[in-house]
Amino acid sequence: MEAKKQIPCLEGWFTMPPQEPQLIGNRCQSCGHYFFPKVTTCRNPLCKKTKPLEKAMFSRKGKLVAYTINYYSPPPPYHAPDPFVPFGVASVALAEGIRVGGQIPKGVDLNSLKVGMEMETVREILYEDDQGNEVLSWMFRPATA
Amino acid sequence: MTELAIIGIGIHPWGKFPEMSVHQLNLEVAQMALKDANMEWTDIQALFAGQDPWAGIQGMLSGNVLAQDLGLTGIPVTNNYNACATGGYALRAAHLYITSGLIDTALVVGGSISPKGAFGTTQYNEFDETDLDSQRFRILGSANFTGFAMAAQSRMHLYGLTEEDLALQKVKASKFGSLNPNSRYQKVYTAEEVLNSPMVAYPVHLYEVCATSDGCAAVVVCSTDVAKKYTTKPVIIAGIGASNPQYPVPGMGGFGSDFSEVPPPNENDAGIKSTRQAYEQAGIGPEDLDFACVYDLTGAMEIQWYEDIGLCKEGEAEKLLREGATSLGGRIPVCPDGGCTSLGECIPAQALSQTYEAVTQLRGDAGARQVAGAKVGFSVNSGKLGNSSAIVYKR
Repeated sequence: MEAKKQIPCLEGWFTMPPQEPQLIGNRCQSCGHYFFPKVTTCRNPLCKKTKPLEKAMFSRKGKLVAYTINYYSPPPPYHAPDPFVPFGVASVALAEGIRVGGQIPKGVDLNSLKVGMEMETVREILYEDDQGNEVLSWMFRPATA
Repeated sequence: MTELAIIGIGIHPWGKFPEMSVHQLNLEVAQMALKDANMEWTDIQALFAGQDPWAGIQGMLSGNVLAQDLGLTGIPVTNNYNACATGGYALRAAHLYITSGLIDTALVVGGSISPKGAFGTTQYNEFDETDLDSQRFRILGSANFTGFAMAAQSRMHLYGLTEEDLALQKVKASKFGSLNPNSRYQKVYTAEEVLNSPMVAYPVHLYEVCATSDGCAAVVVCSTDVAKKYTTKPVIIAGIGASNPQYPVPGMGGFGSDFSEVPPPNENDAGIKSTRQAYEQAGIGPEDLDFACVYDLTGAMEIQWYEDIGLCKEGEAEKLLREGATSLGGRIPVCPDGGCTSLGECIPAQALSQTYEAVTQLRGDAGARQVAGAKVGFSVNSGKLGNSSAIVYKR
């Protein structure tokens, strides 16, 4: 059987196979601030913006700042499975100085989550679209080693 | 700062009224506020109206529709939408029109008929990456309370907030709500009932989340000189702040609306900024308040406000709640109208519902939920993308 085609939930927000899962944003070359998702202009009001933004690859690992478990099936445009399965959402602080939100993949024991623990960026299937493509998203899970 | 007088108020009970249009609501409540002010529509020199995002172009121009319904007098009509702070921004604009000397009187209205259940996005293109609100729903599955829940979970870790505290806040709010004839939920809940309601996003239970509602509130404002012609008991706006977040952005400007946030400084939070503006203009501090209406989209948010508006020090908000200081009869009652979980939440009307409550309390007309001897009141809110407004009231 032919493997299903995998597409990103949004083009250019994170790396796709065969690359290691990693978030892609940008960095202002004038003030050094990082942004995710990428911005069209540096959002730091004190920045003189004399140099352009550059593409930035974010650290794969970070610290868990906060998390929740969604027991409520979100309204569209969320593609909720039927029957709905609760899922975790995490806020992870990355070395670049920002906290990024991401789902916690199925299979992670949500009771094992502890604020401050090391998390890593992974890539998982968010849903399957009408054409049978597997739509991938970045997610965060406890770091393996 | 030049003071402004509130001389008329109107409100429609919060609830679900799918058979009504927002324009019917606005008309009914505007007429109520005019009557309360002993004023004719033809005495009003400017109209400020909150926009209803769920009502299409007519909702965007709700003030113009209201002016048509009341009779076109040719006065300027300003329509605005600033999420949960819509009414506060409208009132602040009216304030500036009047205190600048441009005009003497204004009517401020906000109403909405909203969809049932948790707010989604009104329209979306699944692959429009510039619409972060839609993408937040699609990719994170993050309804509004997902962000609130993460903030609550963070407080659990930092300050020892418990699920029981969150239930206690709802119990407190429901007692106030049961004493407010305009509140959507009149029932007094027990902590057990709250904790037994479905968990929507750990640690937040369904009964601790704002009840998205239809509603409408309006106020008539005028210069303090003109007020003397109409009433001997005006309520005075002594300070009115409006802010948006300052970069780098924490809080509601962060996960409430986006995929990433930058860790505090908390003073960049719009709610804290607008609070400080209002206090400074009024020349008062939190110790001078007799009650406060804050934006309690969940119990954890109410608790955070205790610190953000200075009712207690950082890390002491849970203690303030547990002691009953913010309950009916406490040192500083908070959300005496029942707040977003009992009165309900109606975005373009909510800030004005806080004003309605503050005026009712300062007039001494709040009945069984009256804060005894209230002389100074406060209201504050913050919403999507960090929009915030704050008002100090006195009698």
